[in-house]
Amino acid sequence: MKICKKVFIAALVALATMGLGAQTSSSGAPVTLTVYMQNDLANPQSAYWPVTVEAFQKKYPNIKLEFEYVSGEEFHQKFQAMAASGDIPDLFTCYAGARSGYILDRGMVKDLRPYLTESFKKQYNPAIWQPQGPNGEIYIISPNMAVCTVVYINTKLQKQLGLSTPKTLDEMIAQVPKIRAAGLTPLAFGNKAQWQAQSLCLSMLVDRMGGTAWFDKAMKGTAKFTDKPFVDAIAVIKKMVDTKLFPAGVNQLEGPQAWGEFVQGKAVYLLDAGWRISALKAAANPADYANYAVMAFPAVAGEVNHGSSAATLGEALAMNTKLSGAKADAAWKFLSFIYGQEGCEILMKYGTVPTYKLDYSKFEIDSLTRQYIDLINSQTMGYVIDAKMDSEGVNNILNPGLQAVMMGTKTPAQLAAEYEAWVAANDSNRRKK
Amino acid sequence: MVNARSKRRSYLSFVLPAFVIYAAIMVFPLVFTLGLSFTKWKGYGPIEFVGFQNYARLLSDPVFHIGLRNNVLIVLISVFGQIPLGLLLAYMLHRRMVKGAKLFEILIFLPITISSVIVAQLWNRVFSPVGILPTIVRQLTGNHDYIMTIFENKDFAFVPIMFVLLWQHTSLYMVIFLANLQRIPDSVIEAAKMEGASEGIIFRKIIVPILAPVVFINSILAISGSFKSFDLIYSMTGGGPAHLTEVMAVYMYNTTFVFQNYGYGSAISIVIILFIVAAIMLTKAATNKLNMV
Repeated sequence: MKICKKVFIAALVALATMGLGAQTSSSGAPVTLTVYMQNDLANPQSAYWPVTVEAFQKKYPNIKLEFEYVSGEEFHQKFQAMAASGDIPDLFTCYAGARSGYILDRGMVKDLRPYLTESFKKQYNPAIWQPQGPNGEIYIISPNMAVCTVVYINTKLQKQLGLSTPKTLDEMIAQVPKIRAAGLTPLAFGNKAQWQAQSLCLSMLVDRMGGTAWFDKAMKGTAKFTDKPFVDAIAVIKKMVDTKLFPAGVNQLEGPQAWGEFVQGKAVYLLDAGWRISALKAAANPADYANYAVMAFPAVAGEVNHGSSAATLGEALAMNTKLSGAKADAAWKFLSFIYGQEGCEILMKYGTVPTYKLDYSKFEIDSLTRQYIDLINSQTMGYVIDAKMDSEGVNNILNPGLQAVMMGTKTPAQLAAEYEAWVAANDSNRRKK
Repeated sequence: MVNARSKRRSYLSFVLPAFVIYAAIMVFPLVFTLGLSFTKWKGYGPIEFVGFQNYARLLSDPVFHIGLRNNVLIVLISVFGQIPLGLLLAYMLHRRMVKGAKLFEILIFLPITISSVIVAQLWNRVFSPVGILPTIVRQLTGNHDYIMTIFENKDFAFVPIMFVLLWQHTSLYMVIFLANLQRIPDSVIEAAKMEGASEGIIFRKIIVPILAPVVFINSILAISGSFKSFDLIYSMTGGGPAHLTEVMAVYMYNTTFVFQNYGYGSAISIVIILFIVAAIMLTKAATNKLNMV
């Protein structure tokens, strides 16, 4: 009898506890999430973020967010220390690749696939649902594609000089004498920081010459970086220097100096990334900005893939794999808000074209952004080399090697051989079984 | 007996806290770095022991060799440029050989008070293809393509950086010399003058020998600082273009934190420390031989 009484009391307590638990989650009791984010709030390009957070807090007042913002390389250094201690925040900036290897390889990032219904996925550019992990995991909902090669045109200067938009690189090169005679730069571009020639130019050229299928083989080792597509792509960059398409001292010129020359009306064309639009809009005189246009990099002799660019997924917040229950629900609400319709509409208002499919007619889109949207929707996207290959090979061999080729101290074939040798011996893509 | 034990306890109570702090922030990182230098490690995941492989790689790594060469150039410009120039300027100001010595003192001292990052940005604005200097030359010569090609020259790309280092750091040594010159009694110099010694003789026979220990201290500062050179070069060129302005510390930083090759980066760190210790010992030996200290 006594035992029955104890069991009865225990059952009552259990029921009460379960009931209480159910009440807590359904009533939306306050949940606090810690967020470690790579963001520089002083940067004008981050202006959308406080607005997004405010909108979220208004909709979900019971979800409290505690942010820690760190920018640049320091973000990764601090995060690596956190990862080593095994204690990372609830949400954090994550890249879909090697840059976040220190948390991805440790299994610290939640696979979002259980949350991603087909109807949810349909709302985005399908390119963002490419597998991000070895078993097809999806760790981030990338809000924007980092399109790395776009050619901007100053149509006013073009008209003044009587030039037409070049269809091929050779046609663009043919315009050089006329542009230079006018004291202008044909194609503004800065490569002092070393990554630009590789990310903004070579990646696209490699895709044009070989396509992603060839690059996949080169990563695995069934093709080599000494193959024709890669060597030819480097040779195109050398040709652009030799024909004076680029400004003098391109390897001493910083990126902002290059697009600064374009904004000041000293260059007819600008080779830069898609994300430069908001900076151009902020810096240029509105009348000049209205004269800007975009186009794909012109056709290159020998290309097998026409009109393509190169793109990689932009970074996004990801969830700690340990999150469960109310915290995981709150974290998903946050992610699906900031990367869903509401968050992406704010992003669009601040000049970034999101991967979420929006009804653009609702927005006042300037001519350049409209052209850009049309352009990238018509292009195939190749890989950005530094998003696919190991950092040491890219930053220590390929990027400085490209500068050496541009300065004439190395040939394209030499650089290709050096890079292939490094990749064969060290790159993690070649070591995967 | 009790007294001796008590003395030891007192000694330990004074020394131990400092020793623990020193061990935690100096000895442990050093030993840890030494240990890491024999491994291959990405900063996370398994650590693979590779023996002396990282040190063997240093011998055939052309980028490290460029860094080492450039560090030696910084040592040379520091020891044979900044220190003598600092001494000369200090002497000229001390002996009031120029009018408005106070103004010159402030002007010369100014660069060392500015952050190296700002100094780098400042000189970048001068040297850049869209900077002041190339723009002036373009205006004067009509050559619209003029740039400072020295930055892309395999042998001389580091020269402009040496110039900036000379400009920035000479003032530090000047101030140290000036402070020490003020400690030399005027009567010594006056007596020499009465004996008919010229300004050159006074400088060579009186000032330089008296300041020899200061030269030694400045040399140690210059050498250790030279091998650790990082901030100015990282901000000014980042080691580029094509590694031409690489120095060991920048290469170590990139290898460790950008390439995530902690083992090789640690090996470079250890070699930097060894170079600093060796150079300081050589300086000490040289000064001892010359009876300067």
